[in-house]
Amino acid sequence: MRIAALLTALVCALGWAQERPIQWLQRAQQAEERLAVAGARTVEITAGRTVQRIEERFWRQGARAERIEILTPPERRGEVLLYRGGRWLVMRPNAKEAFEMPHLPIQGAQMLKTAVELVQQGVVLAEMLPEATVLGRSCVVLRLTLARPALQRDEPPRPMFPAAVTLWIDKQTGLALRREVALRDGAPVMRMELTRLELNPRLSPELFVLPPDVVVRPLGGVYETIEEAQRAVGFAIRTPSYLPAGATLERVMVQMRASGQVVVLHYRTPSARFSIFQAFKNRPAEFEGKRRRGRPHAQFWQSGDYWFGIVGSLPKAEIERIAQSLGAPNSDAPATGR
Amino acid sequence: MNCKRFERQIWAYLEGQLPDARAFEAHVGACPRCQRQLEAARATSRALRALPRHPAPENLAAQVRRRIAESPAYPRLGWARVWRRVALAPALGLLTIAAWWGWQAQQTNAPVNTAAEDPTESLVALHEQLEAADWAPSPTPSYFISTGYTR
Amino acid sequence: MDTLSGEARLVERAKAQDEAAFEQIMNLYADRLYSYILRMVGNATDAEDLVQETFLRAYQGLPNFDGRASLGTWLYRIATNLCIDHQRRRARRVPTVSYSGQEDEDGEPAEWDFPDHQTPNPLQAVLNRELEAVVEDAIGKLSPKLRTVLLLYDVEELSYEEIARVLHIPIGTVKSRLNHARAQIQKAVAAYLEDAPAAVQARFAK
Repeated sequence: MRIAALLTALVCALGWAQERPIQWLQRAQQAEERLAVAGARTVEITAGRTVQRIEERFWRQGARAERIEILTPPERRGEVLLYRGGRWLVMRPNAKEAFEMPHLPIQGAQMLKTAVELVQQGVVLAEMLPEATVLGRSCVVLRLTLARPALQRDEPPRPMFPAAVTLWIDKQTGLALRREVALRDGAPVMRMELTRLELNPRLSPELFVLPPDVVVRPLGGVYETIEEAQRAVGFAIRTPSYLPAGATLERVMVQMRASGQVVVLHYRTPSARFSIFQAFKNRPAEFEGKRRRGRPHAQFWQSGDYWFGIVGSLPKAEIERIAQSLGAPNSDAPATGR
Repeated sequence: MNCKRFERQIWAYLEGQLPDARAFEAHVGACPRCQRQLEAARATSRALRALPRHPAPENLAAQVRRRIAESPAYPRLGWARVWRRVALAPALGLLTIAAWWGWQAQQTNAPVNTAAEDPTESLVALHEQLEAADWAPSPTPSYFISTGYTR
Repeated sequence: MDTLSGEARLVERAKAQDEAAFEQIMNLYADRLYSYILRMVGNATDAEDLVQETFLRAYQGLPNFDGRASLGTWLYRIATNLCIDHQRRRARRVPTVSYSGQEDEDGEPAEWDFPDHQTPNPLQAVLNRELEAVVEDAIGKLSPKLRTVLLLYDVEELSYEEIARVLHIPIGTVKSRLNHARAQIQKAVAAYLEDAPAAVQARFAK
């Protein structure tokens, strides 16, 4: 009896401890969906030794419309991204063409909603850290971590969530002024920070609308289906005959690299993502290598005239199965010739 | 007209910019030092105009094309279009395809960015960047990475 | 006038991703830019790298280039900036050798120096003492600020206005730097003519 009472008390205490964070998360989510905001922000993504840093201005009407103007990197300065009707368009100012991106799911905006659900389910733990100041504004600091990072074998798949997320939420408006996301244990991988904030800006409708004489074309290099991508590629794209349960092809990218074209098939499962790389003929330096240690799991091999690679947060065994369905040699044999 | 003034006018004179050259030319005859200055200036002017144009290396265009292909160029329509042509028309002629494969063959010795580490890192990093971009509140990183821009 | 509109048409086609047009632009400007960069940085290896980079940046910047502006000015500006950046990077790794003394003609500390400046044909200057070699050598000894202006005006034959736009300086400064540069070259030439045999002197009189 006493144990039961103790347990109940513990669960209540835990629930209560999560109540404040949940309220802040809900507030932040509402702020994203309803407020009109303008300003500038920096987004930095670090993966291994690659660091990508973007500075941009933005104007946003809740979750309905957004306009982004890129400031850094300098080669892309002036590019404009427009969100309309569920799609993003990309263009340069004074250009007569705009390019439509195939549907790119933006988790980031929905992250708060997912976070609320997962905290309520106890899958994600929320912790209030000491308050901090961002942009001269007083913020609460929330830290979200996965209660159990690795899915247990017999656990049902759950929505993807990073290993650790830290949010700086402005107390007055509920806007998340800063965000740090670590996919796995280790250094933060994505950092976003507002560098300028304008509340209740005057958002004229022209900001979110394409000039009338602009022609909309599909954006080259990224496609929704393999058929479309195949038209842009100089070799036959091979598809795996085995895919993990619930895997869907999210996008196909055709990239120009030093060694030639590389096709990237990017898949998503309910709890993981993986990419299949493919190149043709001349030995592409990027594919030299056999197995990787550590996460994410990866495997690279040669099959006939083709070179392949798989990278993803799947179990090693799954990666091997996919690889073999693409013509990878048996794991006992040497992975790459030469 | 004195020597100092003369010196200041030399180049204007050589370029035909001196409206009234009489005083100038008179001084030349009268002053050997200034005459030598004029000769030196004239020689300089002639030599500068005669400086040879050094021809650019022969493979410049090919190298530039390689760099363009290596760098994430946006929009990639121009060069990607040619690839599509090659894919759809294998009978286009051995010459066209050979030219493009020949261009590609030059890449086998292309240096990898970080020579010391596993070359597959760049593809792994690409995947990781895509994953991380999902959690950014802006579509820009995802857009950049998807279209091959990873700087 | 005709050439100008012809070039403007080329630019328009190149902006519309016409690869042939871009190749033509490269053909038109390759030698000019390479020559200029070579005389700026003083060695062929770096010049090759930088001229490739110039065209790469031009290709990437084409969408943002206003077709009515001068293509040449724009290309020379890219090239000049690359030379400056190149030197700044090298200066951090290599002890610089100042060719012009500690202060330049504007009274400012000599800003950019190019270490390892080898004149295109140093051997010729020593052995043959041809006038062109003397001039090349003298150009190499100019401070980079003066060198740029002299090369752009007297060798690449840009106008004062164009040079002012390339370097983002007032036209007055262009003219004064040009005068200084010419004066220094002239001094070297005068010295050469003094020592040269009468036959050579005769060649350069009138």
